[in-house]
Amino acid sequence: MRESNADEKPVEGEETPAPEPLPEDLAAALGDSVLEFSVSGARISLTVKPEAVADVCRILRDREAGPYLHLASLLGVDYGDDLGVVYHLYELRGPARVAIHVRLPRAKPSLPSIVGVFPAADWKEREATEMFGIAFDGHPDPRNLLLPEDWEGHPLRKDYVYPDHPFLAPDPRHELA
Amino acid sequence: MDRQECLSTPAASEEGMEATAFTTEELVINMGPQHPSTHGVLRLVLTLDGELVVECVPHIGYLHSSLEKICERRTYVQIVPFTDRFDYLAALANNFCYVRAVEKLMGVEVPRRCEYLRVLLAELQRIVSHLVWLGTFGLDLGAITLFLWCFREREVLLDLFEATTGQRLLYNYMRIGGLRNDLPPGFIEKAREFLGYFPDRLAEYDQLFTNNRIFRARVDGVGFLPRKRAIEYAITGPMARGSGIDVDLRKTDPYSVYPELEFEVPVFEAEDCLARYMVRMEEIRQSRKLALQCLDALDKMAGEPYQAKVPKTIKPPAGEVYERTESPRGELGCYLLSDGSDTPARFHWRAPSFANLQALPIMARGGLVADIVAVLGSIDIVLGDVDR
Repeated sequence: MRESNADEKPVEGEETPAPEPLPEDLAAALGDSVLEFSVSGARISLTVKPEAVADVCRILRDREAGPYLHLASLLGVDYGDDLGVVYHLYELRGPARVAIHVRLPRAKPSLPSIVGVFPAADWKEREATEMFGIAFDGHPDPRNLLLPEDWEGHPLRKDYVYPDHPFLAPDPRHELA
Repeated sequence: MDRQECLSTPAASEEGMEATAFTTEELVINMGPQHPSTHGVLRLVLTLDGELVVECVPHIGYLHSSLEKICERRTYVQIVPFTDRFDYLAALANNFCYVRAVEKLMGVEVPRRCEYLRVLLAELQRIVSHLVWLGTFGLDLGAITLFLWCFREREVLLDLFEATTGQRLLYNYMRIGGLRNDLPPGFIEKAREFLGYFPDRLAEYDQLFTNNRIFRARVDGVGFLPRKRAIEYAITGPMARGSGIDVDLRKTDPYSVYPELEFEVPVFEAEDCLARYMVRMEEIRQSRKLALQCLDALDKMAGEPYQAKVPKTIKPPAGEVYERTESPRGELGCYLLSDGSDTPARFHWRAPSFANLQALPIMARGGLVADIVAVLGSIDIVLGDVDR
């Protein structure tokens, strides 16, 4: 079974002959903060406006019919033209899940922190900040987590240039990056 | 100037009183990065009020090697051995999650016999991983005998793994669409023999350790992780089940052939270190049960294929996938973003130890310094998994 794909311009009418709609309560609550969506059974994929992401997470967490209580993952992505953040929210006991995608401009990637909604996001947001340079506004403690305090650059970006080793000859493979 | 002199003059007496008055101050100390019971290189900055922990801040990243970036520069096939290095005590569980993610992306169906072999090895791996946890947990709390006993049993399974995969720790065994090779002759008999006498050994552990008063005093009522906080912090695996959360991906989001197998999910409500200990001890027994069922099933499938047909170059169609499995430490997730080429555009590893370690301050706050060792042991972290 193919996963719904946020990369190709989805969704309605192209991939699946009869696109499934969002559950009614979610469609009403989320309103126009959702830019794109696709639904495949219990698996929902959303692309939302960056500034609305904390509210979207709160709505999904506090949903009455089947709340999504488990923040499984939060990760930064470098799409090339722009950056992004992907959230995976699951219901506590079961396969139902929502994948939330956010696209951010490369020049100034910032979006609200969701630590107030899911404390589990704390370290995950710090990781995305240091690895991709994505600013999570309102994060209580945005220090580097895995990298040293004085690390320069954001290693998981595709255009990251590897620093040469201080004692060795420059590595020609580094040019390939 | 001795104490008597001090008290003899009025001025000095005041000074002396001040010096001997009972003042308290908070003390900040480092635990780690080199500390035998941090299970690797983890640094905890502890703020102490006497023996009580006021604040505990974990500092991680000492083992960070940017494996995600490394994997984004390798082909899908080349990534398999790198997945071994995340959680190096449960390498087969990592292999399992990664190959499932790629197979899902490509829409590959693997043969049933392969699924049973994978589940068999994943469950034996769970036993091995829990035995290491049990041994080191005992070591942290001062019970050295248990460590030796656990490693004696682990050795038998490692020999089986070595005969199958050629390696004792980092197996590089599962392949996209199947396995590297079939089980060696004699594996099933040896495994049955081990699983046959293993319950007796577990009973010995219980006698030595579980019912030991000293051990109970160290873990009973120590390191509370309330259910609500565990949900907020996305705690999974035995830690969640020790906090009364009835969640196990093998049951709640079943994958592979788990729906066809019979097993129970142990859940304990006590929310403390002892509950987490009991969960893992019971899981060892359930894994044994699962492994025996797989062996029975494999008997009937002798000679069937263990590898699906997959293209020589693995190039999944553009798309993304998040696949999760129940590793010995909790929810193991693998996120892949494919752009249609032979390397993933984004590879992300949702490491269970990373998420679970975040809850350490909650459990450590308000407890004794000595309890931190017990709490940390009950999380069962692997720093390779935390730092990646």
